[in-house]
Amino acid sequence: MRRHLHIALTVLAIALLALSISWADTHLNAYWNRVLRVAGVSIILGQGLNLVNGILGQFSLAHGGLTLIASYVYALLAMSPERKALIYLWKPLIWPFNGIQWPHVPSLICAVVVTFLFGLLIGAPALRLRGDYLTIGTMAFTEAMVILSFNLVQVTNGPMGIKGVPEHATIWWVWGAALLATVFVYSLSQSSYGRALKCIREDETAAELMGINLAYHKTLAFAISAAITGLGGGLLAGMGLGVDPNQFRSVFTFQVLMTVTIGGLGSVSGTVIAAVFVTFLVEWLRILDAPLSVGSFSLPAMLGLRWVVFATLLILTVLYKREGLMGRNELSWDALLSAAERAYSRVRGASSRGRRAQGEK
Amino acid sequence: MPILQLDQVTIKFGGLTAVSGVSLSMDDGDLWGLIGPNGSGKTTMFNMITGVYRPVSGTIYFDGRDVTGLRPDIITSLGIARTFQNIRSFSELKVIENVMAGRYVRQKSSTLASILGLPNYKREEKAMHSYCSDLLGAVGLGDSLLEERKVSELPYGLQRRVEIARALATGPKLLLLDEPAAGMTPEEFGDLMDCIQKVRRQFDLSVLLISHEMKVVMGICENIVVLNHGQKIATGSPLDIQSNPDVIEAYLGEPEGA
Repeated sequence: MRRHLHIALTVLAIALLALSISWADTHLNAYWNRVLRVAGVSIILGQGLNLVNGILGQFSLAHGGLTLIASYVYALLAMSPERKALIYLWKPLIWPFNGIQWPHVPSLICAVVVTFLFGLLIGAPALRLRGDYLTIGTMAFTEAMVILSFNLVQVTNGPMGIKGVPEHATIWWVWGAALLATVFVYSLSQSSYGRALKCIREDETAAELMGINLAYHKTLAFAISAAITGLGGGLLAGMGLGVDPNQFRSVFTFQVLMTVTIGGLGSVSGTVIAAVFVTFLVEWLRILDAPLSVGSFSLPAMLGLRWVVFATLLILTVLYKREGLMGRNELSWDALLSAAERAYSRVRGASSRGRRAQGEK
Repeated sequence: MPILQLDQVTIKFGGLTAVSGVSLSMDDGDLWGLIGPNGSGKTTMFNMITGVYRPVSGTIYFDGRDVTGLRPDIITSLGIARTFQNIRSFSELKVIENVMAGRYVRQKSSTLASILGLPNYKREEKAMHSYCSDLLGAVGLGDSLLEERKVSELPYGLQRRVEIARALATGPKLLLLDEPAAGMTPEEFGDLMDCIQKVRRQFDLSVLLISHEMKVVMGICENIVVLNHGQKIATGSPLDIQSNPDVIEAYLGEPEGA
């Protein structure tokens, strides 16, 4: 009975999501459409990071570098040769990228596969690095990728970046992929494999002594996490915003990390909530970057003031609510239903009390 | 055939020889105690048997197979399980999840099947769940409400039992218990001894246990090995050990005037 109710509610929720996407697709202007897509990509990137940093408990900062790789792979494959010839002014693009154009799906799959392989590459040495050293090592990876993309001009077009990538990543694609990534990571976290990853997070030595092969589990988790990040990176490139090396600096990774931390490291549903929340807050706080005037008091435009607000938010989260919005818990229909029940009974209680009070008068 | 055989096992940390040339041979089904003063190398012995440390010389045979220096997870899959002196539960996980984590080493479904939640995995997981519930029952924690609680919320004594259940879940032939009585009151010793005897019979185990509580060691062990400064100084039945002058000296110091 309960199970049927849950299935019905899930179907209903997915239908509702599809309806809102189709509404958003036709009714929203280009700006809000793009904001929604950024939120979707942010969910995907958050789930990728959450898998390694939250569920496996390894503090990795490799995700900026991985997103960069996926974005370039997607852009190089999906763009038309004519367009590439047009923008690679300094040095021409190397073979075979200069002559090919792949459709959306194969380009995206290729981005995912390439980042999966990079995940294996990072995962292997990461086995020997623990704690802070892993963080430093993975951060170095991201920085190395940024510097490489500045200098491998024949491939990446260097600091000029790549503009004019076909805009295949519609809101349907992005939110479909976000749903897929979320369901996948959730299913993983509830599986026996996910349990093994959590055991490694809790106590690596004990996990190994209970028969969990650390090398296999960690490397695979890094690779799956990288592949999900690759999905996000590919779609990011496909949103038509252009790809340029600067955008993937450490700040990029920190932004994803901040999202996941606010949602609750290790919580899949928390990541979804926080990704949407943070994306919209970032947009809304744009007013801080513009000149401000409150009455007679006016402030000149300070670009980046909203990031100050965000940094403060992160500091407050870490200081006062380290476990984030959701801790390591998940939203479940049971929890939602019982919360709704409580709210309903409180409202009814209040209104009946109100009636009684009126009657007494 | 001996279940566990150590042949001249030695380990050094820098200049310190923590265990030096220890040999022993334990038969299948035995219950042995490993005792010795603090720092005599008992836990180090466990760490070598389970693959945490690799001995610098000597050989360890388990069930007739050379396991010296194998990876801990491989040794566990061969059939050695252990508990820890300082509890090392997966404390943020539920009680049942801890035990199921131990059972994971025996899972037959592939990783992909478990991530995607395929039917064969679902069936196996369900069977694993009920098997692990039974294991919790066997160590005296058969309570469906308790199963769903986080280990960190349980009192110390119960956490130790969860650890024993988790070790049993790996399907061992040999169980190593490191200070199972630590932190317990003398009244709880009886329960613990019953529990060890019971699981030993039920799961057909050989048990090697470290304990400082002489009441426990003398009460259930058939044979006792005594370590001092990393060397084996005595081995024998509880009665022999109690009257062995070397053991008394190791624990109490030399008699006055000697």
